[in-house]
Amino acid sequence: MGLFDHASLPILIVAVLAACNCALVGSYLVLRRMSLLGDAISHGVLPGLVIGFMLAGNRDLLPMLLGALAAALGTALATDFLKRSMRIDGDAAMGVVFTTLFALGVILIERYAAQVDLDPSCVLYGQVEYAAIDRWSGAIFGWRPPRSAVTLAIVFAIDLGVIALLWKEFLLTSFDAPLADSLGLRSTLMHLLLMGMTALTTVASFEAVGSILVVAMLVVPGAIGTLLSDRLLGVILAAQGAAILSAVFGLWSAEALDTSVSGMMAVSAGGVFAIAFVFAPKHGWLPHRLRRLALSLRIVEEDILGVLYRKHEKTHGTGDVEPESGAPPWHPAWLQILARLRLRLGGAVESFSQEPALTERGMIRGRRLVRRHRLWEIYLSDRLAIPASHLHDPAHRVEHFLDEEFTRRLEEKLDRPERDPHGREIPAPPEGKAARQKKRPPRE
Amino acid sequence: MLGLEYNTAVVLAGTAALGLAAGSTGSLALLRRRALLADALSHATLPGICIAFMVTGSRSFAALLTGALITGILGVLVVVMISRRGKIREDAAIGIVLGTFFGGGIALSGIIQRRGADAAQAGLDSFLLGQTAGMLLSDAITIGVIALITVALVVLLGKEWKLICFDPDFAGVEGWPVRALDLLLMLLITVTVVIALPAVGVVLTAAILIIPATAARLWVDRLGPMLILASIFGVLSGSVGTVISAGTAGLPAGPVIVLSASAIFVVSLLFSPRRGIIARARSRVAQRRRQERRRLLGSIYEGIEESHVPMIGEAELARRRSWGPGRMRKHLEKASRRGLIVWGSTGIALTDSGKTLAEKIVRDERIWQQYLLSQAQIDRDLIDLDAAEIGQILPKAMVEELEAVLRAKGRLPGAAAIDTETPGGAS
Repeated sequence: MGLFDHASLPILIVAVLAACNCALVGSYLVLRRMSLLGDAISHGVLPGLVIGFMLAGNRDLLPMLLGALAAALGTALATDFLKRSMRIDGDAAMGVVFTTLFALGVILIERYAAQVDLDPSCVLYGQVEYAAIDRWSGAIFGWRPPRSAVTLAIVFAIDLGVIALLWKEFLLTSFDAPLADSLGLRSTLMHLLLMGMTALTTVASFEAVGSILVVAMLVVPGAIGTLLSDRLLGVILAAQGAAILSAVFGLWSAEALDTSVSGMMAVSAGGVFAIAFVFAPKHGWLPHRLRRLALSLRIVEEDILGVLYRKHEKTHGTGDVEPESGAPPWHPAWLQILARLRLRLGGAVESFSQEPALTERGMIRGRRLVRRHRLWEIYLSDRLAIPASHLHDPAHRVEHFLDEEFTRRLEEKLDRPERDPHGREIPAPPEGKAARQKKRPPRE
Repeated sequence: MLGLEYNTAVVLAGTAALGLAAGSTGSLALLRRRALLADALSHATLPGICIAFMVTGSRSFAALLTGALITGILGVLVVVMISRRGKIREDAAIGIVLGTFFGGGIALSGIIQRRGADAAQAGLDSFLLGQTAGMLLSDAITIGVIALITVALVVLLGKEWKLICFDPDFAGVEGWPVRALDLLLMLLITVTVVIALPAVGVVLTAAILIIPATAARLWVDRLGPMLILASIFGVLSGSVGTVISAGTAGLPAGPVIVLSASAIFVVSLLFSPRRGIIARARSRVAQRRRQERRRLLGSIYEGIEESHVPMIGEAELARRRSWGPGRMRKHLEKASRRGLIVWGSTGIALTDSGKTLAEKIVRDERIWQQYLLSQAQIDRDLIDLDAAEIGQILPKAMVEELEAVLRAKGRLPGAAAIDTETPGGAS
């Protein structure tokens, strides 16, 4: 039961083409927050398809396509009319229009078209399985591709051509329509063009994979794309990748489970989305969590080092004022244990006890922290006239987010102070070689 | 109803109760902007129905609906979870859940079918597009009872939900448990969707929540009447749809119920007294007529003022107003019927009441022009006169000031400069 054997290859081609087609247009729909338009159009085209079919009397694609295009345009325009002229909430307007049209389509099928091979279930989940039988009349190098594959390839070429030709225009109208308008680009026209492409793509994919898969493939790959990239081209390419992956895996799993291909393709797309949602490098859930964990760990580590450094200052110090109190109690215990472990492994402390001695390296980090803390207190007190009793808490937060360069410049701005508002000494920078070093040699 | 069998009557009562529940919860869903979430929700119930069937192995109504409830709630939770992270918008999240869950349901039903459970599969298929014909008596009663409980809840907590629909922030400040109320509303919507599934079907259930409520919204502006009206619409579409589909072989109930609701919607769209298409078109036409009448009187007055003759020829009037002869004739006749103008020897003259009205119109126009010229610093070319009642636009002191300016220029209608030269009224 190989994917690439004789029977499966046509199905695979149709599935991949349909998925990629929808994903291409869908990327723009998702970016423009029009995801549900795909849903609406894919339902709304039904009566048009059926009427086209009834008028032509056979399953010729062209009349069905024209009927469906008209219905798609009707869906979009009617929704727009209800929204703009009748002031009906956008979602509700869309819901009213497409459910009505879909209901109409189902009844038309049941009443007038059921004898011929068009039935509601085919509309819902398509007939990609028949791709192997339903071949194109022409041949490419002696091989006759599935009929729907030819249609899909043509539509894909059209979509690609339009997007390549109007890349800049689509980019600008998608992200900043007012700017595009002011530059003389017609954002309304681009909007209509996109709707036309959506309709065309929907109709072409519809026959092969059914309305449900069209909805899934219009929205899911585009959403995956936005999770993986922040650039338009990246979104589109990632969406294409996701679409191909969903098609291949969907077909494979459908054959393994002996069930509907389009259903499994939709499920696979959902699975790929779930993976991207969790693991996407920048916007994924897990990397986000990990980044936050790393930040929390660093803060707890620095707080511990701060406490140890201040203790050291108290016993060995030259200062005549008590150092400020140590780490706040609000870090969870497990984080503290983890932080102490990391400090020990990183060689910042000498043992894994409750109050270990600082190594050279730990001493440097602790001193840097305390230095930042006290400089910030001076800044708050000098420049913002904050009373001494309110200096500690803000400084305690900000101390973790000042880098060395900033701290150095802060010190210069404050005219290289020697003591903080509480009279505590400002520790010298660990590598401090300049003027301060002469006054106060390193304490170790 | 006498012609109906007892069984059909009960099913009808069940779907009517369903319409009642759908109308009232649909209104709340609509106002809370959850219309399309209901769509995702109804599609998300399909895998639950299939799983329930695979687990229990029977088409037990309660089991299938329980399964539907579980995956429906799961679908809503996934939408909320995805869209809360911020990167994926809610509309995309709805599309993702809708497509994926429904696809899963289709795949599961395919597996059931291949296992050879064809008879049962037929039962599952009826969940796609709905069927009231095969509904058991007990099923209809279950649906009806749950629907009535739902309606009771809406009545009971209507005020609280009204608050969170219109001003959730205020509700929060006032100390209402906004999240809990919101969750309860979501649960209510979910339950309504689930009991609507057997009759309306997975694909179209959202419509029975959305359409009656949207139609009701066209007629009324207050929540209470909207709830009542939406419920009536819901009951109507539910029962009409059931009757039609029961009487026609091979017609699934769902689309028929939805189209009944759509018909009500279209009627509302056309005939609603304030927001309907016809009413709006009529008020637009009436407004245009009023404006043209004002222009006509204004033009006659200005023609008389310029020529210092108390009458104006029809040719001259036509030059001033670029109307076709038919339209001009119509307006003139109407004005004459109202006793505003009379035809004299050399043309049209204003009657006393016509003159008073025309003076007021021209006065308002000129004050507005003067205001735009002198106070608002608008270029002369840009002034497009459309002043209604000048007193409604400008403060009184400003009007008086502008009047003084106009009087000084001799351009204030009804003021001495013109009065002496224009004989009052016409013979």
